[in-house]
Amino acid sequence: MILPGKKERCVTGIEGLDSILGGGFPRGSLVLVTGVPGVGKTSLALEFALRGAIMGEKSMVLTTVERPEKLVASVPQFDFFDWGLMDRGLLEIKDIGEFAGGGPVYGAYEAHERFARLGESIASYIRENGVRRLVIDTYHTLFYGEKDDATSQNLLLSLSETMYANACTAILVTDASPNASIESIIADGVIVLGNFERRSDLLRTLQVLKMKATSHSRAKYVIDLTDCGVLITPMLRGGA
Amino acid sequence: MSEDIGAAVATRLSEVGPSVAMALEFPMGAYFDVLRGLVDNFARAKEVQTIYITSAVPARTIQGTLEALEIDPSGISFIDTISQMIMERLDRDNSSIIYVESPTVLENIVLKVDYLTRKLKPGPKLVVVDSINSLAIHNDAKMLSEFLHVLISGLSAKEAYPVILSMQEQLRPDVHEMLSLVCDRVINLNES
Repeated sequence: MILPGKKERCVTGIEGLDSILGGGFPRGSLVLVTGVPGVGKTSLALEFALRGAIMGEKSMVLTTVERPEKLVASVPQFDFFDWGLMDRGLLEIKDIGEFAGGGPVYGAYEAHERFARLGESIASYIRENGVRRLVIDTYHTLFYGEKDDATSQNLLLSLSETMYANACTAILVTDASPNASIESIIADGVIVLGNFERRSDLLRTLQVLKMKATSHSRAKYVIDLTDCGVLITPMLRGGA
Repeated sequence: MSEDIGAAVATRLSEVGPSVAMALEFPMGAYFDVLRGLVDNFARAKEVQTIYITSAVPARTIQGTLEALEIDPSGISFIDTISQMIMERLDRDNSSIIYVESPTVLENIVLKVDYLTRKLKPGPKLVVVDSINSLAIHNDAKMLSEFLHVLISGLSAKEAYPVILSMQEQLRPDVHEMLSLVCDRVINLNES
């Protein structure tokens, strides 16, 4: 439980991002990382989990659309990746289906009750195993075919409560538009990754739109996805 | 005269020490002497690792030039901002060259410098921008000054030696003024 007035930080370990956030995410936050495909959402989220594990915080990554091993193989080969972290139980990469009674999910949930059970199952695991960092990649694909928006919003509310109560910090990777989604209102933080076209150049960008309980830069930054992790530098304005 | 310029470059760098951004202005005819002064007289002699940002000619051309000057280029890490833009064949197998798609993507140059400072072994680094004239062809002065400010500020914290090369014959007044604003020292090698 985080006491009022205490703003303990969850240092992401991503140097530029911690600087933008004034020292990291407020501990227990639920943060959406959104953006179009190919801009580095998964890389950023995985690095957050991996850096946490390296710092000794138990980190768990839940995949919803691909096998855990495929997820790891699809991002840059981080030179700080240490398989020993998994052997020591500091880093877990699991299929979210494990929390739904086994088997992959792939949009299989249709009823509110099943999602409620999924939320409870994740909450129990976090509580019982002392998980301090959670990544769900990707959140919205859980709800393909689900017509009732309330289902995803209810799960998000449940996860938000779980994170706060257990001082666990979460990144939910999502493709939702941050301007129009209820999820952005529910979440404690919203980070948008995108593409920015300047003349004929295309830059990968990062912008923290929202982060409760901390002052932060709202400027746009340029990022690079490397084997050292996500590197970040201010976007130049050219006096504009 | 030629040897004097190379020696003068090395002496100046040694005198000012790291974290001081230095712009070197010199006639085009002194280019090879300045190059020798930086990478041979200074960096090699003092065992300082070199990150060389080239925007005028491809990195492979600089490597060839150094070899012709009998200077071993193997310890130099290049950030080549021009080859891809002019559709030159890229030498992806050459681990000492990193390509940036164009000299207009100044943020990516900063990011590649950051990347190399993390990847190279710890210790002081010489970071050469060759040249401000060629960057000024592709970018306006406001953008360039912001770029240099961000680059130099980041390097100062890492105790690197930032050096900006500038050929006097090609130097626009606004670029010269900008160098005076963002660099700690502007040195005219004709006067040294």
